[in-house]
Amino acid sequence: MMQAITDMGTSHEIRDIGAIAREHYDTVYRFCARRVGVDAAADTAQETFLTAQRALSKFRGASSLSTWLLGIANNECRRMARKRRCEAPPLELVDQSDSERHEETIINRHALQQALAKLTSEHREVVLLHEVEGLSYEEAALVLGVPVGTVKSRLHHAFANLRKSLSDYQEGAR
Amino acid sequence: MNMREDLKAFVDNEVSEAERTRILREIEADPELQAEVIELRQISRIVKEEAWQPQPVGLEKTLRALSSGGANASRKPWWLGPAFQWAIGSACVIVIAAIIFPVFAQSKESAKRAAWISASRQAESSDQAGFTPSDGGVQSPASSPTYAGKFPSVSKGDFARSPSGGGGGEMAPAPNAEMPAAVASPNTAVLGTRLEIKTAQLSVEVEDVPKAQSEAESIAKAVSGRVESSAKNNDEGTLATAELTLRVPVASFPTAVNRLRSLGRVISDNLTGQDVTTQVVDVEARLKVMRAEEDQYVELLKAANKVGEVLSVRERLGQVRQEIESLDATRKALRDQASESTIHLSLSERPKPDRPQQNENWAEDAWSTAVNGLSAAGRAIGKTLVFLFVFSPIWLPAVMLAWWLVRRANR
Repeated sequence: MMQAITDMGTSHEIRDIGAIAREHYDTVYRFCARRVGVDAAADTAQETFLTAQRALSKFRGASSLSTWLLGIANNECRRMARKRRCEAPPLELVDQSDSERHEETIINRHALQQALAKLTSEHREVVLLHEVEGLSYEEAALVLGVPVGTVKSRLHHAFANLRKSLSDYQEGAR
Repeated sequence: MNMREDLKAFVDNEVSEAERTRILREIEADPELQAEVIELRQISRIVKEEAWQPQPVGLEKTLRALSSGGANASRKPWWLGPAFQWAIGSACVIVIAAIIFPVFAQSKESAKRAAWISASRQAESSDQAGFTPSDGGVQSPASSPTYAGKFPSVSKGDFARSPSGGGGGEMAPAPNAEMPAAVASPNTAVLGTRLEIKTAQLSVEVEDVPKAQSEAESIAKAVSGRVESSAKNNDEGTLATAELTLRVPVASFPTAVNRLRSLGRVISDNLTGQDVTTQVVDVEARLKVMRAEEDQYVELLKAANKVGEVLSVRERLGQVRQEIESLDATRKALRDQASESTIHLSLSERPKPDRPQQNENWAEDAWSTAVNGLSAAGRAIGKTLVFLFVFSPIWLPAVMLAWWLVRRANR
């Protein structure tokens, strides 16, 4: 399970990039892997921390360190995707084999998997940041560099699309 | 619909307290909304809990790259950095501009320079031929030896022989192509010194005009000069002014000018010098020739037998004598001007600094200053734009190349 991203420090407390990397590498790596795929994830994560190292003096603590790092990672992912011309991998769900839970829900996992794959990249970004990385609307807005209202609207439309795909699937199954 | 848009935010607990209460009330009343909320929560939970969790790798590599300052880890070579590319682009533009600009500038400048060089060469060659180069090109060397062309038929040598006394009917001196050296190549050596008409236009601002005026007059006397004219204007309500024309000996000209400058604050200062050496030489040579011709006509007159001959020789003699008078007057005038330099001195009273009415219009002054500044800035910007546009074939390709390199490097 994705652990909640905690704000481990502001610019005033942490200035050692090595310590920052140890603290946040996993979060950044996972974010990158979901955005550009496993093959390019390590390179992208490394570029993220190298960029952060150069820009660390400019970090004023306006946002949390993790949000700041994910913002850099977001840019690095875009650059990497453009450079390698790679498509973002689909948002995969991993079967937890928890049969009890499965019964609790009315959602078909296979259908959801397909619905997630159909999302546009903008909608994938917000779903990833909010649902998977656990960022608030405001933090997601900071990472993407868009207003909070945009995050809210994108999430609403992403979930509307997911629900529509699910209902289409159910109708098709009948 | 707003309500449905807010539903996701409501599920995520991202709405204000007031909105939350409103949405809750609506959900309670609408079973369809209740089902939607449940579905949203379930999707959200499944995505959150079952999202694929990649296994992080490469932390050590990243730490190594960070500890080496990112120098070897950065896959982008330094020379592909945008800053470097911009620097290279700018350098290219400057170099090309530095090559191209003088070419344009030269086209105007070279014409001036060529004219100056040819003028100085001409002066050099005429100097070798015995002329003194004139100051500031006032006197063209090519136009100086006019006497040689005008009087080709008379020369000193001819008159010395003067053989044609009883020649019977020969009215003019015999032609001779050979010019005596002294006449053909007038030299400063003939006159001893170089003759130059020096003039100074001085405008000086002084505290007390009458005092300065008398000082100027005493300066002129001190250097054995004289005051040619002196006028002053001291009307009520206007600043006092005075105009003086001073004549001083050539030798004391610099001293006089320097002393006059020290009377007050020099507003304008214009010194000119006109070399009249060749003019004087020219006039004197012509004079010599004319006198010789006069002598010859006198001889002819003595030898004349017929009334017709006497009359025609006398008429010609009159013309020659008239010309001699005129040349002599010119020579005297030139020598007089050259022997004494002229100083035109304008004295004006310094305006009193405490003039309160200037402060009353400060707003107007500021306004006009600002407007003038704005229009000047506009003109400067306009000029710059025109220059940029005209020079765009030079800088545009370089800028576009740099931009393309930056884009490629960032990709």
